[in-house]
Amino acid sequence: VKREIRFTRFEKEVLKMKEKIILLVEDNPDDVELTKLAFEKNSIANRVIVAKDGVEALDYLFGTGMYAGRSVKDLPVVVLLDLKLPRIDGLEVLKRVRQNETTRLIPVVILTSSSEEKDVVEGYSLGASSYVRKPVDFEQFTAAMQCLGLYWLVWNETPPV
Amino acid sequence: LHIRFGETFATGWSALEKRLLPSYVWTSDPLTFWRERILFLICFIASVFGPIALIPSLLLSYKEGLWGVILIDSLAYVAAVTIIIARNSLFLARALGFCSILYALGISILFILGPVGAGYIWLFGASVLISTFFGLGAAVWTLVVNAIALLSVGVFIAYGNPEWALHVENALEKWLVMAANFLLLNAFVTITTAFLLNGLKGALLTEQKISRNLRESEEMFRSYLENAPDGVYMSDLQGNLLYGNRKCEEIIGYRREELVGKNYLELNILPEKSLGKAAQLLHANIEGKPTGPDEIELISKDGRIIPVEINTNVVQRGDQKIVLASVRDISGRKKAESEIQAMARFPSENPNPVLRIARDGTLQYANEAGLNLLPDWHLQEGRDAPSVLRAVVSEALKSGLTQTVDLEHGKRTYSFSVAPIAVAGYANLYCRDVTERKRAEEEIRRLNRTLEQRVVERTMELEAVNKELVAFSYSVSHDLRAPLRSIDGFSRILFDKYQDKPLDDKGKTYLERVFKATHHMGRLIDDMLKLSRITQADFKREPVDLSKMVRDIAETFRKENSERVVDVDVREEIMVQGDPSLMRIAMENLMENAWKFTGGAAHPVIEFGTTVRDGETVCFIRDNGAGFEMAYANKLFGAFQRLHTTDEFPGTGIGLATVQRIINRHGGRVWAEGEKGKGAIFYFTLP
Repeated sequence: VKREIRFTRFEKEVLKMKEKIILLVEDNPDDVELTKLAFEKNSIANRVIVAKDGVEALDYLFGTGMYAGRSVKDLPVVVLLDLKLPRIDGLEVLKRVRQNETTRLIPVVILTSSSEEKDVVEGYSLGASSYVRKPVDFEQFTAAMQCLGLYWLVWNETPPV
Repeated sequence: LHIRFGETFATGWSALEKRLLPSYVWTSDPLTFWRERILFLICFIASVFGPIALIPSLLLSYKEGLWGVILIDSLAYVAAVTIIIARNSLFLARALGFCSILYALGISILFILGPVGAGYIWLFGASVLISTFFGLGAAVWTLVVNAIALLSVGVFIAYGNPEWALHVENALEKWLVMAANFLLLNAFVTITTAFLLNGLKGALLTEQKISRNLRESEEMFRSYLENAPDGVYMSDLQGNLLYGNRKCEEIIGYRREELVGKNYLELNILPEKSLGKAAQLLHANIEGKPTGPDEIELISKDGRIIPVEINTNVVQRGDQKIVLASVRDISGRKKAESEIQAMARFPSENPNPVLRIARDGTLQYANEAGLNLLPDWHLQEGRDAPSVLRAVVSEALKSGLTQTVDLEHGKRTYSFSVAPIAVAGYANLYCRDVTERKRAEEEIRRLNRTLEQRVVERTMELEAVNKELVAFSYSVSHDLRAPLRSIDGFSRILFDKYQDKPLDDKGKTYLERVFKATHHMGRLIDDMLKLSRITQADFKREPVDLSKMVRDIAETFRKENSERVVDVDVREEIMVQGDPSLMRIAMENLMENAWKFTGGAAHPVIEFGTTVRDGETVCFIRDNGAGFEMAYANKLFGAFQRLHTTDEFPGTGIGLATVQRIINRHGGRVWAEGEKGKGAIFYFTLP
């Protein structure tokens, strides 16, 4: 049984109205590809910016390093954050995002393979907006990704910049 | 011959008396004894020799038809025999019976034969015996009875006209003269006998009493002497022993029979060194002088040396001068004396210093061991003690409590116990060299510190293992899931999209991703197993030629990746002590790392060599590959930690964790230096 969420007309309208961006922080290229494939169904794949490790993610958000000069006001509606990342790991990224004045209110969803209680507790206590475990089953993975996209892109009200 | 006969007779008679006398006589008073002996003597003689008189008398009486005489004679003989046989009946009864028979005999003969017969003689005998047996009263009564009997005979002559009187002229007159003389003589003899016996009895009793008193007194004195608390002996002036009391036996261990009669100078009771002294004492005695107290040693029968105190005196015994001496065993006293002396020597013999310091701080006494220390402390008897000790002594005397103080001197430590003797106004200081103990304590402390360190090290090791375990379980939930998701995801997409059309390029990349994920998962599992094996593997230490090992590894890599040209520079003869198989795994991982990260370099160079850091030889593997940012150096060696994304450089993140684990197990350290884009150096030490 295929479980696919198809956006309603209204939802598509909303998507079109705003230039909404999702920041996906993921070092595993397969996971990046799978996430994009999941989003493809509702044509939100092209709104996904990928950061391959913690450093890249922070660079994007703070307009530093390889993203130097980017307007920091232009924030993604949500950050999908993996925990295990080269160089700077996910929790450290979260900590720094929450410490930064411009990014402190941004919704951050932890999206990881780990379901360790320690990670969940630490994630929430550092101010994660949500904690989602990536299902191994692709059907479920697709459903979870579409739900997330719909929720954060359409229904969630972003904090004022 | 005469003498022998007398002896034989006396012996025989004594034996006879022993058998035939009543048994009580041997313990009776002397008079009764003699009376019984007389009664027995008479009856015995009568029994044995009686027939000599009896037979002619019976024959004559038979001829003349005097049946009364025959009867009375026979009766008398039977009575004598009976008295001997019935010897255990009452003396009074036997004596009275015997005397009565004699009397009856006399009277009967007198009446039957008249004054011409033997009647008077029997009467006389009977009365003498009665006075002998019964004493003065009985003698007087016998006289009265005799007088009455004679008077009756007279009356019988006057009025009875007996036949025998017819043949005698003037029978009555003759009878009268005869009776008067008889009575007079009878009175003389019986009364004298009675008096004599009375006197004799008194004399005998007195003598018996005296002799008993004498015996008792002698026994008493003998008993005093016997039981005297000191040994007492007597000897003559030549040294021949005459007597020794019980205490003497006790002291010397010989029975007196073994000693008395022998000369003590010749007996083996004096050790050689005592002989002179003994002779000296005897010499003084010969001159009539008493001696003592003198101490002398004796040898007991069982060979012990017994110290004794001896006092002698010279006393007269009869016409002889003898020596009376008392001997006292003083071994107990000697022992006590020697103990007291030993006690007195105690402090001086103490191998530990013993000092005595007076209240005013002057040193009063130091034993031998203490004296040796004095110069070191600039001490001297009679001078002031060091101020530290003075303070403790004063404190001890004030509080009355024993104080302890440790003094260092040179390399040695002395511990003083300061015992205050407040009454005497000084304190005794007992000192002990506690250097060794201190050293031992220090050693124990050091060992404890080492132990603590080892506990810390062990804890760290355990923590490392634990960290690995945590990382392992973490990776099971994270790293192992990722490839599974790839496999599931891409294979499903292929299934969905390419059911009715051939694979295009995109489809092929999906399929490639499935292969890669599968391969990656296989490697993850292999690496994890390797890491866990290192933790469990047995560990041995032997020389390992690292240079050769690195060259071999490089050769293997070259064969597997023939398209790569890598310059591997290995310094010769780098030898370490380690576990060869573990070191092989570590070196493989390091080389693989270098090989991998030099993938992008124009002229890849890997160098293996040694250098010296802080006096320690350190091995290193240097490459000119991708390098890393030093900011993340601490993450390098964590299991499943990666500094590069997998599409830059593939890997599991376990390799360096494995290296660290191996080097740590060897007791060494591993660290890395690097710069992004310029290369990395991995250092490690092996003790």
